[in-house]
Amino acid sequence: MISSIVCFALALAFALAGCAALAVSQIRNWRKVMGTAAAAPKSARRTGWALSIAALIPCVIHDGVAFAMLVWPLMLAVAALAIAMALAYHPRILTPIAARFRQP
Amino acid sequence: MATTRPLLLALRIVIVIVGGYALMAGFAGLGGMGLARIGMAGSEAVLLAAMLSFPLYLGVILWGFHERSLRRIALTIFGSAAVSVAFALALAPPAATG
Amino acid sequence: MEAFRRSMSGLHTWAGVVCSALLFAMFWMGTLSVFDREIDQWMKPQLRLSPDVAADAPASLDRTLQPLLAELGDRSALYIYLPKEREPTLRVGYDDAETWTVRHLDPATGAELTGPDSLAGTGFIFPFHFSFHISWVGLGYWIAGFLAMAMLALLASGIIIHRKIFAEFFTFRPDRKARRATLDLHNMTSLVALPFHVMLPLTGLFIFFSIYLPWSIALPFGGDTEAFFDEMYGTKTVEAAGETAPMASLDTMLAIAEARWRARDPDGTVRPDVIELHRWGDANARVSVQQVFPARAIAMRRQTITFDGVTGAILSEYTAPPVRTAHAWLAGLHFIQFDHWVLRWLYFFGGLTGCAMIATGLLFWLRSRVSRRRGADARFWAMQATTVASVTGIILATGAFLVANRLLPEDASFLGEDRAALEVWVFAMTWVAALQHAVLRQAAAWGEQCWVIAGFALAAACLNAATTGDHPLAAGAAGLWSVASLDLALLATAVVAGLAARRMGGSTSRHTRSPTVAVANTNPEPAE
Repeated sequence: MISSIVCFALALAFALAGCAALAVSQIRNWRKVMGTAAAAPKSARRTGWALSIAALIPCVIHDGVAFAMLVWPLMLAVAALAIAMALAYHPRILTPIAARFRQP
Repeated sequence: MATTRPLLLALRIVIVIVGGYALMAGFAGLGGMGLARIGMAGSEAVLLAAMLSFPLYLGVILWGFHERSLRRIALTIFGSAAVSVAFALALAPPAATG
Repeated sequence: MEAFRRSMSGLHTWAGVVCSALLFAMFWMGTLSVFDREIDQWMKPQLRLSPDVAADAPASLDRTLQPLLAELGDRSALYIYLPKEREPTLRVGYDDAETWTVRHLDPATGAELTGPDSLAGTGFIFPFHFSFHISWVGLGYWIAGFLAMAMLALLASGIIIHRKIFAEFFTFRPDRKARRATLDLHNMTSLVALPFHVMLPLTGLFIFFSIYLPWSIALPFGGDTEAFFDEMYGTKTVEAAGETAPMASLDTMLAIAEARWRARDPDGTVRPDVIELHRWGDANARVSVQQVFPARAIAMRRQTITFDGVTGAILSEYTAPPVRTAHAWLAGLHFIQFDHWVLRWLYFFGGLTGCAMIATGLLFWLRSRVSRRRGADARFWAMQATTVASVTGIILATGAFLVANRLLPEDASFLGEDRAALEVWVFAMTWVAALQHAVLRQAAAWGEQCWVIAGFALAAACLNAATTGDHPLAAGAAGLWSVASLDLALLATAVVAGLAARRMGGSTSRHTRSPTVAVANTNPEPAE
């Protein structure tokens, strides 16, 4: 039971982080979150993809590939909707994440 | 849409939906019979052909609402349906009596 | 490509306008069907057994089933469904003069669980999803199939229309005009769960392939459809010998089957779930032990062992060949009867996303009609009323269904309709009333129906506590997690619907006089 909670919480955390990074990698969203007119750094997109794919790993560990291929896309869907809602109503939530990618 | 006249639109809808269904059934029948003839078990063959016929129907629908010429749609869809049904019947064993 | 986009845009709009109302109904009922067994337990309190009962070593099947089997005798087919976590009762199903009858037994004591009759989740909500309860010449199945193809066409055309798919993934701008915000939401709910939305209608069509292609599948068998099914499922119809004979032990057969499957798959979970009895009590009796819905595999029904009913000897063993296995896997994706709570809730969430997709699509079309200076003609009023009735209308009718279940007395009967049928009547009449309300109130109906949804959801949860005493705390303590979760879900629905109604109520009240302005200015979201 505990291992299940840990695995799926991890998967959701990776998915949320990955979707957040992917979202802020888009220019329109970057400007909304950071309040600047600068371009979004490429590293945000790469990291976003990597984290989103990494969310698959705890799912595979828990259930094997077959079930993981069902759980993972739906987890990403949950995460994507959550991030989109955050962007729409409280963009500042994503500022800490976006700040990590900001070029000095 | 390729046409705005309601009657032509209705005709197109009938051709695509009814004709497309006939084509789907013909494809599933021909595909199933063909696979069965080359050695697949009957139930396996028709099951595979049946599953493939649904994406085929989707393709027919998309093409049928894109192609401008109603005549071309009708000829292609009904023509292929007729041909596949005919070949399927030709390959099939005679109807069982029991 | 531009011409293709244009034609696909036309197809998307037309198919959407024609099919969305019924598609929403299918998706809504399908989403609820994810938890159909839980709904059964909520609506039929006599079935509320704790799943731990199923987990304990079950009492002897022979002893438990003996009275019922003695009563039911040598029918051509009797189905025994063994207890599982989501359905802790021992269920027996059979055809009684063309009517499918189901009886539930307590698996520990064998006592029959009787109580107020209700179609509930598996009897009303689930079949509504794939046949709209229209059984005349199987028309319901064909309508469902037509809608599934329409759904695939809508998804395909929707993808083709879009230019910038990735850019729209996280785009939702509620601060912009209502029409833009609605389109954003429609695109987003379609994209984030796109594989899910495609998979469901496609696998649904695969499941019913034998209904949609009866001629094609019988071709290799000379037109004999029975022969096709016998080969596909590894069954053979059994004729009665006419003479009775003592039957072998079901417990022994079950144990043999389990041992065989366990030997073949030592690390997997073996869980036989269906036992088919053919001509029980007759000298020709056959018993098939099956794993129809494996606990930890997606593919369904791949293994059947058939025993001789008199001697208990193994007659045949069936394991699905490759294409059948692939089909079983695809069907399993749709049926989701495996044990995985997280995935089950994710499917539920995906289903709600699909409902939102359909509802926002309809809303966007409505708003476009008004803003394009087409004005609000009779066709628009009709379409708006239909939209409201299809979305909030069916949701509140479901709420009424649950409330009626708690209020109707056990022996309720009216004009020849029994209790279960009366519940369905309440659903149907409430839906019709919602449509009439929508015709009269138009845009204001959104908010008002959301209030009704909130009211029904709250009432249902309270009535459950009042009539059965199984409020969430008590249910949790007794191990009745399904009942507790459903009550909590109802309360959450009441909150969400209430919040939605509040948001809509503010903007519509000023504009109910001028429907055109009301539509252009309101920003209703789907209730869920």
